[in-house]
Amino acid sequence: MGKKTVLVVDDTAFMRMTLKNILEKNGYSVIGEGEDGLQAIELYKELNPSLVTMDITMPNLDGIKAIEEIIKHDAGAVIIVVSAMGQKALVIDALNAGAKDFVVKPFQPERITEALQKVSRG
Amino acid sequence: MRDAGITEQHKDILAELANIGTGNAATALSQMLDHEKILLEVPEVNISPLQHVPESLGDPGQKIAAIMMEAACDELELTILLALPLPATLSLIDQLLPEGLEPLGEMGRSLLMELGNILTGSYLNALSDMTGLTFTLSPPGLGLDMAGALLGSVIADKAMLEDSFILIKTTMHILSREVEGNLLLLPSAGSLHKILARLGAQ
Repeated sequence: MGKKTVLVVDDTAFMRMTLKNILEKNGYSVIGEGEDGLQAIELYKELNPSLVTMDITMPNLDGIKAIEEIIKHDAGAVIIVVSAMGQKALVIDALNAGAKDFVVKPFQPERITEALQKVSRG
Repeated sequence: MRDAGITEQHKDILAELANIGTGNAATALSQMLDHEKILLEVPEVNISPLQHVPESLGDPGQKIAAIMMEAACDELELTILLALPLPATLSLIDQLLPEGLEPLGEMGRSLLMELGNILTGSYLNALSDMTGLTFTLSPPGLGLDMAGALLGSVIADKAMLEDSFILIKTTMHILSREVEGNLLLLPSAGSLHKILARLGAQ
């Protein structure tokens, strides 16, 4: 079975690097990196990844709106949110938009891999 | 009563917000640093007239790193600025970065913004829990300059700010370093008393 492919979306290069390192150490293949919600939508359509990690606070288009657009394009998209904004209402908005899980930054690497394993099984 | 109708009760309420936010920030930092023990001293909270912003951190000639974001909800808006002394911050960033990367290179600046994002998020999550308001946050902007010049330009660029601002100051003990953390909350006109009312002020 091939590696699961992941699109990592975050406006900070450091967080993209951190997530990429965690994912690749755990057997995932990061096939794309987006810096904002608009890039996330374009890259999702182009690359059709198995999984997406999505920040919320980003320039041009925020993560929740990007999730809504991706889900409109592909109702089966598997997206987890990775954000410092852990406010309850935002978590609910993200889940209502179609996210499968929500990880609050900062996180331990295991929290990311657990979330991805859980939603992959789901 | 103080300027802008700020009372001792208001200061008590903001001190509680600062305590909870600082606790959240310590937890977040510890997780970021692989469960390193982080000690944050009891925060000091002050409400001062807006024109005191440029000298609010002491020596206006000291170099700082400032990470600024705009928080907004249906009822109010505020600018949040995290100011850290530059030498101690660069030394910390250097330790956190993978070997071979420069603290002021692209990845170092990115880490600094992420640090600001996470610490600011810690306070904003506390404010959200205590007020029942849900805030959205703009992406962070980073400035490196002398405190007086940088903070002066922030208030000059903002058209409609409240006459008072809130300063939460704490000393962070991280990886054998002492780093003074300063969080400036600059509410838009009319927002300060809405925050205080939501926090339960009479």
